[in-house]
Amino acid sequence: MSKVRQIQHVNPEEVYAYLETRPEGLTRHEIEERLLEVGKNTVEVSDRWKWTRTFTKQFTNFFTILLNVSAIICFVADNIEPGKSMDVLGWALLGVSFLNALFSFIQEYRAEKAMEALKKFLPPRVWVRRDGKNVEIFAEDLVPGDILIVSEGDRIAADGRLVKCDDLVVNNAPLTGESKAQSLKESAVDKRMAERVNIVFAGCSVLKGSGEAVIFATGLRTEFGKLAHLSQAIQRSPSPLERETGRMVRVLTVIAVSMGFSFFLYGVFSGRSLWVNLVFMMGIIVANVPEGLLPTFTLSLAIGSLRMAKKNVLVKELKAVEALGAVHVICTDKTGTLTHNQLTITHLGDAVACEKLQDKRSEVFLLELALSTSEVRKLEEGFSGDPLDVAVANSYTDKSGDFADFERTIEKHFAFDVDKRRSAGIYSANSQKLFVVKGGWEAIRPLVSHMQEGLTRDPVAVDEEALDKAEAAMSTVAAKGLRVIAVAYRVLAQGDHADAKQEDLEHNLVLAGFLGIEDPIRREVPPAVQKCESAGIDVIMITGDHPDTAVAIARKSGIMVNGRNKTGVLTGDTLKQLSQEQLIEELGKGVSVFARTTPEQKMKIVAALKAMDKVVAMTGDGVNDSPALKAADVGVAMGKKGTDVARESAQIVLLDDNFASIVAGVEEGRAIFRNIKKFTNYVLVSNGPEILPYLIYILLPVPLALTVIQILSIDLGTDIIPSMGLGQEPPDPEEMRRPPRDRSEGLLTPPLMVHSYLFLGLLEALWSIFLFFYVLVQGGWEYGQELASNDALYRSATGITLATILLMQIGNLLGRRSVYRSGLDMGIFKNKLIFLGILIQILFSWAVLYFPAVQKVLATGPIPGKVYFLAWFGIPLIFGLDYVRKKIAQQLRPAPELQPSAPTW
Amino acid sequence: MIYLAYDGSLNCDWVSLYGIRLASHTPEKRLTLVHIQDGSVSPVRVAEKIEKIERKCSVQGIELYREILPLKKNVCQSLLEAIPYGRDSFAVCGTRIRSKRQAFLSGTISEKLFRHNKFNVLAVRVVQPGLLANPGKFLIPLAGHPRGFQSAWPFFRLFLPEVEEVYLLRVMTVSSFQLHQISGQRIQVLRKKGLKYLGTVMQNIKQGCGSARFRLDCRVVVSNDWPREILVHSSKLKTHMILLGASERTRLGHAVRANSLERILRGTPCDIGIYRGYE
Repeated sequence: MSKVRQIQHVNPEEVYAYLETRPEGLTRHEIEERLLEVGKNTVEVSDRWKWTRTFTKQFTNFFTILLNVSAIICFVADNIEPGKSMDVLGWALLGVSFLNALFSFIQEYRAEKAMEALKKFLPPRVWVRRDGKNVEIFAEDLVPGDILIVSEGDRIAADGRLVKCDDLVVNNAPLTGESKAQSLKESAVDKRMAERVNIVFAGCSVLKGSGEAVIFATGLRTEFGKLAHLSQAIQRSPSPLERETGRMVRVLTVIAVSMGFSFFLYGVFSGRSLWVNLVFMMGIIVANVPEGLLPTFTLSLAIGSLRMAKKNVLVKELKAVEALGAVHVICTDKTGTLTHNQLTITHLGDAVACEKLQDKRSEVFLLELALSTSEVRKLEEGFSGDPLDVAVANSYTDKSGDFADFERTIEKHFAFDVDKRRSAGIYSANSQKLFVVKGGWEAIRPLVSHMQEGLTRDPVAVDEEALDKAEAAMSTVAAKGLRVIAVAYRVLAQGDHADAKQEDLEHNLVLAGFLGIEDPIRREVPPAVQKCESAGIDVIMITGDHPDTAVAIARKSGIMVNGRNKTGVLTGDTLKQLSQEQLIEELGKGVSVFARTTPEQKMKIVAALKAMDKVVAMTGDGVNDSPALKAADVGVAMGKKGTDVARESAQIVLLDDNFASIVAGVEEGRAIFRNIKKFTNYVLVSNGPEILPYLIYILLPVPLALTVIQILSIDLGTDIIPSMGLGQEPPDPEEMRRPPRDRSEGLLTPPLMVHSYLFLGLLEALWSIFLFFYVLVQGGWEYGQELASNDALYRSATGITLATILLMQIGNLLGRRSVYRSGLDMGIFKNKLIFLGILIQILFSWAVLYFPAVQKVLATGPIPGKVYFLAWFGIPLIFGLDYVRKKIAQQLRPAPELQPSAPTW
Repeated sequence: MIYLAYDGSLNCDWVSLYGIRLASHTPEKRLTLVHIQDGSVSPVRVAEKIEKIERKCSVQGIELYREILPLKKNVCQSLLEAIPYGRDSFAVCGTRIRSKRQAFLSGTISEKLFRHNKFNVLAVRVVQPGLLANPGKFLIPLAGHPRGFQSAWPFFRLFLPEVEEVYLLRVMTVSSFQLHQISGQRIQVLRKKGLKYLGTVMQNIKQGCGSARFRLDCRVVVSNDWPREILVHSSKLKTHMILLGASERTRLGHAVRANSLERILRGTPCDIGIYRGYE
């Protein structure tokens, strides 16, 4: 009794007492009490205000607050002095704010589908015994102490300790990731609960047999519930782009508000009317805020995601598009991602030296033994079952012939035991009954007492030395990248009952040989790994396979390369013993392969990498990969072999399960960040000519050169398509030859601001304001003279200011396409959106001056053709001067080998 | 000496296993069950239940002392009179049997005992009866108090013989605003600070535990929500028990912390013990 520590250590008959129940089940009163105590058996955390809160949250960022406050000011201004269309402006600002919030909300809403997929693993109704009667109840009414009755085909609704068991075989894949069946028993075991020997777990299913279990954990307290809780509770850290846009918005907001408020106060003290000051403040704020920038970010990411989809990378959360480009480490599965997941037996080795069997009879015998432990079904399209078993069946058919004939000789099959890591079977051959075990060498070795070198030789007794030799030989084969499976058997004696338990038969086995199984590496993987190498991205392989096999695959794919600091391998057992700090140390030393790991250990690896300040992409396919996929910066699920839960938890789904597709996605992600930076630079340039007129207006007795509506026509109108065009620029061929960008490399850097505001912005501002005054003076205006907003001269002058800005933005746009080159060399027609953007700018600059409908909305007027020609001169002016700056910058930049990353602003 | 404040509820039946377990780790091997007859459960039912507890005690070689006392001023007062004051007394009690306005601790006898601070108090919420009060994996969140592990030690010591893994968690709390603009470097600075603190605590634990063998590890996270981090780490690490201190001295601190404690009690994926050592 001293061994009784937890419920799995208790004898079945004592379980009832420990869980305060009895064989006939709980009474109604007890059920009510426990339901109140522990709550419903549901894995979902009820939070009825969740979506309201999420939606409201979208309105709390600086940018949205600013837009909303601006809108309110507009409405107030319209109330004070109606007829100036300030209400229209207010609605426009509110519209932008609402659309931004709605878009972000939809993104978050779609990301929460994992719970729906998880809930499908739990049954709606279950059979229980209560008050001595078997009754069917809603699964969510299960309480600890209930007697759960399970039979073949059932899904399990809560964690329970088995008290009766009749040949019960379950599929624990949702928890373990192992698709193999596991047989259970009701007797007490001196093992940990997690070893799942006499426990049924919620979310798992019954494949065979029946049983009764006393429920001891329900809802979020079940192992499955913990998984669900993690899937809900883990919050993905803000993506690098989110952090950077957040910072940029804050900086721009602070500039806009402080500038607007300062000049509002200046206006008040200089004796201007409140209305004028309000309009002025609004103008400053609106001019400073690039209203169209955030929607353009979203559009650019959406276009990026479409491009990624063409490369088999399906993006579920837009922010992942750029986050993928920022990754420092890709943690990848092996099977199916680096390899084809098409197992083929390429080596049939003898028991002594694991050398290839020479005669066909020995080969067939070894395959027969292996096949007797395999569970496969022959379908029209081929064999169905576990990939290893299918490989055995295929090989047997190739070598010998009739599967159906052999299948008839199989008398019993023992399902694969996850803990023992072996499966077994009994079949008849030559009037003998053979008990056969197939599994990993570590699982078979302790059971072996003899060896047989081919069918033609008799078994010989073995000692530890012989077994060590066999192990060394087996390791040599494994080191070639083959997964090696040992096969052992015993001829059942008269006293052996074929219906005996597996453990009673597992002794004195004869090692018959080894199967070498190969899962070929995908052709695209080595170049993709090479690309990661040159892009400064570490690739870490995480697999449940034997270390030798893992290392061989890692070497073949280029993940492990001799001579580089990437040679370490850690097994799951070692990983279990390491503290996080020790793991960080190991990762720092260059561990690039984790073998014999469980899916749960992925979380530990992610946590350690994130503690190292790395941006981590993690692949996964199982239900229990879900928390790790959410914990990583970029969760990548497999589209083909992945479960719904994994796909819903991930931000990115690989449609072809291919590692090379991740790398293609990284390249696109990097290009997108560069492009975002390009169009941020582009958009901020127009802020210069938008702000300067207001500063001149408040300081000097001159008319305002640009109205708020005109500013918005640039920010929310003409700048959008060219920005999207820049967002669509293809990746630079050098993109994957640079290390990942520094996490401190922001979007809004001081050099970028100086270039946008004080160089290009100032150029645009000076030229457009020059033409503004040129038109005024030519029209007879005198310094200090006030002009009405509907004065024809004033309308023409503001028209030329706007038209000049629009045209100069073309020169700006062309220059933004390359950091050091002119931009013209990239071809105007190659990027259709850029071409369209240029056409729009030209057309709109004309329409502003000469098209009545546009004139009416923007309060502009016509000007003489020669002045319009002067506006066109702005294009070569801004483009040419910027090109000169580029050439000087190119001369001054450090030598290429000293550049830490791409040239940036 | 271990005292079990027993009210006769199912929850307390589960909590009683903790009382037995802790008593089995004391040299006296003695458990005193204190039941105040407040009329909420019939005396006959209580007697039956206590008999069951006695059987479980005898299996573990524990001597059970019963103190069935009449209700005086109130249950808390009666318990205070029944349990000797001082650092040698450990009162084990349950949290509320069902949440009242989503609260499991606020307004309970356990909370009152915490406030009186006359002896060591451990309030347990059992959500995994299958553990049979035998948690092997612990999550011990620490708030960075200079006393480190000292306040947790008297309680942890009682679990020590069965402990397999211990994870210390230090949540470096920042505001939501800070969290969204915090730099990688700043996170590393905070992490190092947390690790330094936990390193010292781990050193002290190793010294204090002597020959006891268990895995000791620590986690430091930078977050704006420490209760959520505790719950997430408990699920992540699959711990069996969260051992959490309740020793806030200021009223404001108490109010803020109480709300967070309730969140943890409500969402806990494993058994949880809230402790306050006698000061």
